[in-house]
Formats: sequence, C-alpha cells, structure tokens
Amino acid sequence: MFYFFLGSGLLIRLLLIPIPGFKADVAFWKGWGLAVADKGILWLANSTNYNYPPGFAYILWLINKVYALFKNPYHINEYWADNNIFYLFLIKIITIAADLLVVWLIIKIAKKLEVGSWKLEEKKTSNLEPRTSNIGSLAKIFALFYFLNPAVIYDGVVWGQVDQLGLALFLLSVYLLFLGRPKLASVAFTISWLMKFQNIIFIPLFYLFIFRRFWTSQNDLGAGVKELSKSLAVTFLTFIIVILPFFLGKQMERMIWLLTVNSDWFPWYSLNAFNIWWILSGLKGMQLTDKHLVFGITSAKQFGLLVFTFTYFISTITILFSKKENLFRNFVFACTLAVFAFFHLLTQSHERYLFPVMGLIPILLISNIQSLLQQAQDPEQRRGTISNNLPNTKFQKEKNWSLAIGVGYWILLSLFFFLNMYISMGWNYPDQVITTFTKDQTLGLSFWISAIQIILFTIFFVWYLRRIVRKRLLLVSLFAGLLVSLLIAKNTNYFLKKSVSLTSMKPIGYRQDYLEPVYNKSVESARGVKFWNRLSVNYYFYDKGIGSHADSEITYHLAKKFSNFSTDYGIDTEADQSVKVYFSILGDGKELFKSGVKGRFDRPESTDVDVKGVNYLTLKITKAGESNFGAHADWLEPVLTK
Amino acid sequence: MTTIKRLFVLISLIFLIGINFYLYRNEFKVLVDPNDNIFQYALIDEAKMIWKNIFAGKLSLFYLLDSWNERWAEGFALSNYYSHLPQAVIAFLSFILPTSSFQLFVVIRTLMLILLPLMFFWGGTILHLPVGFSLILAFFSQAIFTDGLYGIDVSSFLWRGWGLSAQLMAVFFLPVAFAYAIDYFENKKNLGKAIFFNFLVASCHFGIFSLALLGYPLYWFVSVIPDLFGNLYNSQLDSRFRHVRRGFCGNDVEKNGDNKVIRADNIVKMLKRVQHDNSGLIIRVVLFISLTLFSLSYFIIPFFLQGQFRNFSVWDPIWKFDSWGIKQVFVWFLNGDLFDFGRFPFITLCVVFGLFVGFIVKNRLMKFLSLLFVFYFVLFFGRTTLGGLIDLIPGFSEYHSHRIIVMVQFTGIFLGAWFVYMNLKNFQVSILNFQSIFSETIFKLFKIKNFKFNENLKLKISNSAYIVVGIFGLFLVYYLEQPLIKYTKDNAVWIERSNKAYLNDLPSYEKIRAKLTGLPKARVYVGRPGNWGKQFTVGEIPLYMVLSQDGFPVIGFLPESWSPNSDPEQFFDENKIEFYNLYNIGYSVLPDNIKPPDFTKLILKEGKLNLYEIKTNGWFGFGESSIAIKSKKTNLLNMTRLWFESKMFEAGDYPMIDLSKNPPDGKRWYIEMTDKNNFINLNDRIERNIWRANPFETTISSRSFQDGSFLFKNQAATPNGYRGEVKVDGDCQNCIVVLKQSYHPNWQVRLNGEKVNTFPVFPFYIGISLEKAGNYDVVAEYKPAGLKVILVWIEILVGSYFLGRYLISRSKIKTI
Repeated sequence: MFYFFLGSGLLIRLLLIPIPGFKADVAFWKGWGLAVADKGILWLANSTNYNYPPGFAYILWLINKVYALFKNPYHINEYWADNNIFYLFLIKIITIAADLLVVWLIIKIAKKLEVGSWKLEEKKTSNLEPRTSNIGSLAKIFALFYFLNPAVIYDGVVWGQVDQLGLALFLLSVYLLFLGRPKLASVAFTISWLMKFQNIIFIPLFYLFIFRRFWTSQNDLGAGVKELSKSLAVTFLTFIIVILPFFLGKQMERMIWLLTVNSDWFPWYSLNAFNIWWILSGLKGMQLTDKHLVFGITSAKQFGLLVFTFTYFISTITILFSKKENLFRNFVFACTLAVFAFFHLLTQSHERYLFPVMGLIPILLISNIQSLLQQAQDPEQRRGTISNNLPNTKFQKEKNWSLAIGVGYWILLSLFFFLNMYISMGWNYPDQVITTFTKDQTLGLSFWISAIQIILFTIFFVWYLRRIVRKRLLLVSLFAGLLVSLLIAKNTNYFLKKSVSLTSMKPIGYRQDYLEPVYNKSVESARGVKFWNRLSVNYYFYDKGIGSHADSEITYHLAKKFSNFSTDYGIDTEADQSVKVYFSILGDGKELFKSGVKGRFDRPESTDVDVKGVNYLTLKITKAGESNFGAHADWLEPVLTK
Repeated sequence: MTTIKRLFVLISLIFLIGINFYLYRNEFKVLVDPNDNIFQYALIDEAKMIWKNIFAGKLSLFYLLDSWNERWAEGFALSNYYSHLPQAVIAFLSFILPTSSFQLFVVIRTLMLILLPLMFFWGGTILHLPVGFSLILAFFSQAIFTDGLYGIDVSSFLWRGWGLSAQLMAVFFLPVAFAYAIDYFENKKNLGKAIFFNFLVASCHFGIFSLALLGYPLYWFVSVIPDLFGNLYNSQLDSRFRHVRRGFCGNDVEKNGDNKVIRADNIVKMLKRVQHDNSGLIIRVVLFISLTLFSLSYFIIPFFLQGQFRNFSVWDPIWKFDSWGIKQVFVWFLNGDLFDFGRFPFITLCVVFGLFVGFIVKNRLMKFLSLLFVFYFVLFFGRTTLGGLIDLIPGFSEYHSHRIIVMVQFTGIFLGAWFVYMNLKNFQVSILNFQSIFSETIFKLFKIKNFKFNENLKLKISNSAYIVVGIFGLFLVYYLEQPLIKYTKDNAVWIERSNKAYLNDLPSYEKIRAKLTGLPKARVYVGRPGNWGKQFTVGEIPLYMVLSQDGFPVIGFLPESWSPNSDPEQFFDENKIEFYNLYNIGYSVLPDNIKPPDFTKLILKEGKLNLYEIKTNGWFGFGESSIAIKSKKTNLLNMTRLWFESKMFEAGDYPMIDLSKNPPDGKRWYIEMTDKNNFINLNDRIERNIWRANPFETTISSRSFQDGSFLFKNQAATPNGYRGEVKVDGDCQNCIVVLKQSYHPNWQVRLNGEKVNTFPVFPFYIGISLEKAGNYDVVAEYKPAGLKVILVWIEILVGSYFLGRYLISRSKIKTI
C-alpha cells in the first residue's frame, strides 16, 4: 500500500512537470544556468543579478551541462520557452528526488526514534508490559502525508522552486545527527544552507544541539565544546570546498555579498506571505516598504526583527535547557518555531517560507508520540502523571488525542499554506491557476488566510510556551525585558519630544545618480573602506548626516509624527571643484524648502521647515549646472522634532 | 634534547635569521626615512637634546619622561602621552657608540626586525612548547604578510612600509612578555621577568601593551569556565530530579519554590568551588596585572587624567579609530589577506584549523590562545561594528582600533604553528599506518604472499617519507617567502633611489639648515601635505619632514599629531601676515614656483630652496578674551576655523576654551557647544546653529591690539620654555598674554616671579590673564607633572625594596 501511494505521488509529480509554474523563477534558473555553465561561478556572481547562495549555482551548472548533452541551450526560442519541458524536467526532477529523500528520511528518523524508545524500555525496570510500538507504520503514513501533501507538491513540482532541496539536506543532517555523526551532519547542513539560504535560520540551533548533546554531565563541558569545535571545523572546511572558486580567486567579498544581499533585496512588508505583516500593510504587503514606522521611530522591519529575536531566543533555550531524553524532540520543536517565526514575524517574508514546517511536523509528531511512550516507561515520570492503577489507558488516550490534534493541525496548516501559494501564483501568473482570478477578487480571502495562519501559529506558540518553556519563564521574561529596553532606548528621544536624528531612521526609498546614500560618511565611502571619508563641507566637519550625490531623492516615512525638521547642507569637500547643486525638501510631494545654488567652496548652510502633518519627507538634491559629475552633496545633522 | 636535535634547531634558526638578513640587508643603508620613522627618529633626537641639557645641568632627568616637543603643531607634551624610554636609551647610547644617532636608530630597528623570529622562539621556549612548535612559530612570525594593514608583518616596519618602529620594538618584546606572564600564571614562576618584559612592551608602545593586558584575564576565564558550566549543569540536574512533573500545567508552586532554594544553594556552592579551585590563579593574574600597572603608573595615570589635552584628529582616516568593521575583517581574513597577502592562504588555513583544534584539545594554553584569537578578532571589528560598546573598555574611546590586528596576528600564528606541528607530529603515525595499508593492499592485489616488512625496510620508507616531506617543507618555505622577496626587492631599489636623490639635494639643504640654525628661533613654514609642500622635497622626502627631523619647529606636518593645534593649523593661510603672527612663523622656505607674500624677505637661495624671513611679534602675543567656549575637545575645530575667518581673529580677541564642567566665570559671554555646529547661549539657554547665528560675528571687540598699547621685548627661548618682558600701558578687562604653545597644564607661567593661572585660548594656546597696566617679566616653563614625579619616586622606592629583598634572598641561597 505504501508503495502504491508513493508511486501515485510520483506519478502526480511527473504529470505536473510540464506546468511552467512561477515563470520568473524558472527564467532566472535558465539565465543563471547559462552563465555559470559558460563562464563559471565567479562570472555568474560578479556579472549577473545572481542572488542565491553559491551552492545552488552548481545545481544550475549541472542542469545546463546535462541539458547541453541533449539539446542546444543557444536555441533561444526553445530554451527560453515557458513550456520547455526538458528544462522543466531537469529542474523539477531535483525537487522530486528531494521529496523522495525527505520521505525516506522521515521514515528513517522515525525508526531511529522507535529504537531509541525500545532501548529505553529495556533499560528501565518497569512493571508495565512492553507495548508494541506502531511508530514505524505511523512514520510511513506521515511520510506519505508529506509526499501527497498538496502544499508540498505545489511548492516544488508546480511552482518550480527548490525549497525541497534545502529541506531534504537539512533533514539529512538531522538524521546524521541522530546517528551520532555530527561531522557528517555538519557537512550536509553546510551544503544545505549553501544551496538554500533560508536554512541559515537553523544554524545556531543546529550547533547548539550538537553542543548540548555532547555536554551531558558536569565534566563533559569539554566534550560539548570539543564536538562543537570539530563540527565547526568541518563546517568551515565544507564551506571552503563549496565556495572554493571564490576562495582561490580571493573574491570573498563577493561571496559575503551573496550571503548577505538578500537581507534587504525585497524591502516589503510581505511578499505575498499571508502573515501579520500582510494584514498590517492593509493587504498591500508588496507595495509598502518595511521601513515605514510602526512604533515611535521604529520601522516595521526593526520591530519584526525584535519580535523574531525574542521567539528565536525561546527556541535556543529550548535546546540549551533540554533534558537529554527530550533533546531531539525539543530540537525539532525549536526548528519548527524558528521557521514559523521566520514566516510570520519578519517582514520581507515570501509565501513559500513556511515550507520547511511541512517536513518538520511529521518528525515532530512522531517524536512527540515517542516521548509519550518514553514517559510511560519511565517510573519516575509515571509517578507524577499517571496512577499505577491505570497502566495504559490514559497514555493511549493521550497519545491518540495528541496524534489526532497534531494531524488535524498539520492538515489545516498545509491547506492554508497551499492556498497562500496558490493565490500568490494566481496573482502573478493567472494562466498558471485553474479558474483565473484577479487580485481584487481574492484580496479579502488573503485576509482570512492570513488570519487563520496567524491563529495556527499562535496556537503552536502558546502550546510551545506552555509545554516547552514554562519552566524558564523568568529567563524568557528577562530577555523580553531586554528587548523592550532596547525598543524604549531607541525611541526615548521621540517620546520625550527631544530632537531625533534622521540618521536613526532608514529611508523608505531613494534614487541617486551615483552610488547610494551613506550615513555619517561621505558618499564616496560607499565604494569601500579605503574610500571612507568624514562628512565635511569645505572642510567644516560633521559627525552625523547623509552623504549623497546629485541628482538624488531620499524619502522617509514620518507618519505625521513630527512638527519640525532642521538640517544643514552643502557640497562635500570631496566633490568636484566646479560642481553646482541646489537642495530642496518636499513634504508629501510639496516643496517646503529650496536652497540657492551651492558650490564646492561655499560654507554649510542651515534651514528648518515645518513638517506638521507630513507623512513622507523627501530630501532632494538637483544639479544646478549641466553636469552632475562629482556632485557629492550632504545633508548634515538632519534632525526631526515631535 | 639530543645533540642532533639541538643542531637542527640551531641550523633552522640561523637559516631563518639568514633569510631575514638577506631580505632586509638594504635597510641598513637608509639615509632618510619617508614614513613614521622620521617622527620616531625625531623623538630620539629630541631625547638627545634633553640628555645634553641634563649633562649641562639645565634640566632634570624627569624631562626624559615628560617633556614638551616644539617640532610639530605648536609644541606638545608628547612624551607625556607617547613612548619615551626606548628613545631615551637609544639617544644615550648614541653618546657612547661611535656612530650617528640616526645610524644607530637604523641599525637597532633593522636588527630587531631581523631577530624577531628569535624572540618568538624564545617565547615558545618559556612556554615549554615543543621545539618544533617554537620553530614553526618563529617561521610564521617572519612569513606572515599583509598589504600594509599595520600588523606585525614587515609592511609595517620596512622603509617602503609604514615605519612603525615603536610598534616593532613592542612586538619584539611581546612574545617573551606574553610567555613569562603565562608562565607565571601557570607555574608561579618568573613574576619579575613577566613584569619587566611587559613593562618593556608598554614602554615601546602602550597601545600594544594595553591589548595584551586585556587578554591576560582570559587565562583565568579559560580555567574557570569548565567549572562554571559544570556547576550550572549540576544545578540544572538537581532541579530536574527534584522537580515533579504534574501534567502540562501542574500545580507545582511549592516545588518551584524548592527549586529556587536549590538553585541558590547551588550557585553559592558553585561560586565557592570556582573560588577554591581558581583562587590561586586569579590572585596571580590580579597580582601580575596590578604590579605591571603599578610599574607603569607614572605614565598611565597622567595619561588618562590629562586626556582632554590630547587631539582626536578629523584628518585621521575613519578606520584608524573605528577599525574596519566585521564585513571587511572577514573579507580580508577569508581572502587570506590578514596572514597571506599575495599567495595561497596557507597560514590562514592553519590559523583557522588551529583555532578549532585549540578548542578541541585539553591543553589550557591552546584553549586560551583560541579564545584570545576570537576575542581580538571580534575586537578588531572596532567601533564600525561594535559601536559604543568598545568605548566601555578604558582608553578605547580614542584607541587606534585598526592596530588590534597586531594581536589577531600574534595569537593567530601560535594557533597556525600549533596546527602544523600537530600534523607533523601525527605524520610519523600516519607513515606507519600508510605502510601497513600499503602492504596489505598492494601485496594482496598482486597476490604476494608471505612478504613482510623488515625493520630496515620500514626505516628506509620512513626516512624517504621524511625526506620527501622535508623537500616539500623547503619548497613551502620558498613559496611562502615569495611575496616578501618581491616586496623587499622593490624596497631595496627604492631605498637606493631615495638615497641617491637625497645625496643630490643634500648640499643645498645643508646650507639652508646651517643658515636657519644661526638665526633666532622661530617656526618654519615649508608647505604642508595638503598643498605644494608634499612635492617640495629633499631627495624624495618632503622638506617639512626633513626639517622637523633635524629639530626645526615646522607647521603643517603631522596633521594627525597628538597636539590639539595640529588640526586647526591646516587652515593656515600662507598669504596672510596674521597667520604668520599667530604661529610665530619667522621663516619660510619656498620653491621657485611659489610666489612669496609681500611681507617676506629672501635671505638665502640654495638650489631649489629659497629661504625667506618674516617679521612676527614673537612667541608671545597680547589680546583680549571676551568670549568663552565650553566644549568637548572634539567639537572645537569648526569654531576655530570660523574664528580664523572672523574679525575677532584680526582684532586679537582669543576666545577662551573651557573644557571643564565648572560654571561660567561671569567675566565673559559663555556659549556651550552641543556638537561641532550647534551651541547653547548660556545666557538664554537657547540652542543655535553656527551657520545661522555665528557667535563670532556678534561679539566683535572694540579694542585693537595692534596699536602699540602693549609692547613685548627681549623674547627668548629657554631649554624648557620661553621668557619675555611686556609693558602694558593701561588696565583692560579680559586682556590676556598668549604664549604661542599648545596648552597643557604642565606649563607653568610666572609674572614677575609670581605663579599665575593659565587657561587654553583659541586656537589651543596658553592664555594668561593680564588686566593691570605695568611692566611684567613673563617666564613660561614646561615642568614634568608633579604627580608623575611623585609616582616615579614611589616606583623607585618600592622597586628598590623588592630588588633588595630579592638580592638578599638570592645571596642567602648561595651562602646556604
């Protein structure tokens, strides 16, 4: 029966391969694949808009090389066609293989859990009858549940994304950890985040798990540190091997750029991830930048990061203070919470970012059941939880309830996750969904999907807090207090109606003809450390300000919270000698101030403008002559008052 | 150690020193420096002049520890804040040895560079490291290379590099100082040596010492942390076992209460145990740090107490104070640029894996070094990443954080050497394993039966393998040396070219120098780095550098110097007589293509050098101080520049600088700077912007000090200051005498023999209130700080006591 369903899942996937899916993603794979196959990974990273981690480039290289064996990738019409089935097959076969690997891993991990529980039973001197464990068959059902899950099928073989690859490699590393092979696990894990960058959220948890697993007794701190160090060494070695072209080519700067660029690549509230930010954006997550103020002078992004940090902290203490027998289960719990938090609490979340939960929940359910079984065999535990007179029934009941609730939760979660992706796909590519719909028609639905997804997350979070961290409430409260203090510290000046430096806020957007606006340094500093210069106007120096270059427009969200804006301005000392510009300040598009023409040898000047009721403040620098060559111009000590 | 081993070590060290000698041999030929060494040599020359005055009975020995240096930026109490003892020693030696002090300086610094690997080897020996480890360490200390990142590699020290000889001297003693300190912590031995060598490091470069000092307590931390975690774990276990589970939301208030008690007990137990286990170690760490700091207290205490009179320059690159930030540090590290610039990052990889191995092995020293490396690596991110956190470390708010690379490299090469050594050590085992695997596979493959390695064959194979590895090792050494060979090759060519050019220009320069020496002392203007001065050279070295090295007070050079006057003096206008008066510039040397101002007079032309004389009003000025600026030292520059451009400057109205937290004196209009460009008028407490309300435009004095209402005569320089006579015709409120020297509290001024208060006035000069008419004899002298003198005496007394006790105990032991 198992293989029948497995075969069915496989067949469904194979049948769905020809669907072009999310065409932009697949088009990027094609373009980058061509580049890496022709010119190598360094050229890809330096000369294209490639913004994935380096490991994925090897996959694209391989696909293109295989493609070139059978077809000509320079046959433009065929290669770039949305319905290039052979290319779709090559890319999607990877996700299919990854799905199969996930299935295998769920079963294998479950078996290991089962063995773990039986071993425990053998060790204990218990008056309970050894119960037959059905974890093995349950694991197969859960694995099929995963394999036939519409959300899983949709994300991979329909959409054309490779989230499965990241998940499969991560689960592989988890399995290897379970086998007691932390070094091999580190290799797999490192490859996983070098393939799919979202896996970086697991990095602290993964290594904390290794440390905690080997730190088992008073004298074993050394063992924990030792194993952690070994794993980190292996991680580093794996990292170097994977990124070898960058290492040998001394192009680590580009490497680091690749690994960090996505932190602000899509600076929106939500990229069709139906979460709290989607609702807070007024269902316009992809039209509203996350630099909008939500609390005092704290932007949505900063607020999201704070809340995420809090949740992540809870994940880490779950592992750090875990009992040895619950360590694996708690690790999976912690990882699941991290993924939920990543999807729900951070801005800039994509609709697919919940995907790893699809693979973690079956393991979570199995480990939870195993944990219940374990408790049943543990006389110490049993004394506190069940009466000796009631040997099995209560536990059985609890197990069944736990299972039913868990599976129900999983189904609901999958359903709404699927809907989230489906609607997102329909909005982007109406021809890729059955029953074409417009955004207007489904915007309301997106609200309800968001609401339900938030409720599901809240249920998990509350349950998690009660079940996992209730004994560490003091620590959690202290950390929460610390984060609140940080939040207050950032907003103190604002709430006390003192002046607030504009440099403590991020612009919601900018346009600049050369480089990018730089805080507290001249604009040339954006070229790198050797170009760092202090802000100065004809050698009059400033500590704070914005180094810019004409023509530029830098816009901030003030949310009508301020009444006055004052700033100095002038041409930076590093500017070309003949440059001429003028400065203007706009409130909601209306000009509030315009300076005279300023030259390189002029002193700084100062102005202040009334910004009562202004929602968006724009600082504009415009060339006054024919050329804007070397027009390095600064906004200096820009300050807002409530 | 066997004789063969000893011989091997000796040959290896000679080989290493030989390589260094070969690479750096041309350094001995340097005639003039193009880098920081010109400043370093000037300090030696200054010390030599002080020695001469000491020998002549004009100055006390304390001036070697605390004196004022007139050469740059309107004079500054440089030795109060900077390295001075090595300079004093070299200057003294130059009286004894038959060589010029410059040549002596060149020889000493070059020898230190050549012998640096020996110091690392010695350090390794003190730490009881295996000889092989110490040898690799010594080699790595010589082989690391950067693109001039101010580390311990040669690009910091050579002629074409930065010329950081003070840092070189500190790094020279650092391995031994570090090793003795650890030896004392671990083995309770060599406290005296630990203090002495750390004192030497601090004397050469206090910044490097302070970095090392920050790291020492980590040794205690490394020892304590297993206990700490262990006890925490116990506490956790106890609480777990006592905690009775009562369902998902069980009612276990009482039990939780118990847990709290249990945990508190455990924490007390834990602390007691940690205290018991490590009290000896922590006492040793504290004792060592306290005694070392005590030995340096004469320097440290005044250094921190008088910090506000030291400059924080805006002309310095941002990264100098803030360092490079996490991203750049990681990019360099992963590119191999912190250890292996210009080659495959071999040492870098060894450092990384050594770091991990350090945490894996049980060896406390390696754990300590690994932790230390991480600590310095994070610290190296600097303010750029760590923000204000780094300022929490005493002295780090103005620390040149980019120099933290020194300790990153220092600890890194220990880890790298450890990793290589461990692998070499395991090599023997690997060879034997390889032999057995080889025999099993090959002979099984070819079905050779009954074949066994005899011992002789095994030995032969082992030896062959060692030879192969030896050859590979030599090739590796050759490969690693390539960037250095290339660098030093260019260095040699450039030294020769510079020497030739210098010798070509020397005759003209010597005539100008001789003429200047014979003229009354005044400052000299020869351009500055920001204008034509950079191209106006003797040989290839700017004239302002060469003149300052030879003891002439110049302006414009060293814009990043420690004097608070060095930043504003960059706004010197060479066409305005007011600036010549302000800075008492009596002479200027101009190239042919620069038109001299009308008020200059040509007195000598030699080659491309034209010496002009300018009549100024001397070392003292007279004026008014009608406004006071209360400010942090870092907020004064724009105001000073604004003052230069104001009528107040022309009228001789010098704003008073108030760096204190005292209330206004009631005699002047007070403003308080809130940042560089905003101020609060202390009368109405309203904040204003200097570009909208220029305070110097609203308070123009009605008096003029150019009309002869006062007269200075008989101005003269003395070995430790200046003197003159002033006649004031009428009383005047807020009138001041200005000594054109950078303000420092160590200056003492007497009017008619009576000590008077001084205060800083713009640009950062010494102001003396003089409001009554009359004739005054003004004597201004720089005196070593009283506190410093007291501390030195205490140190001498305490040091003598302990030295005496040590000698007595030693003689007793010998007698027994």
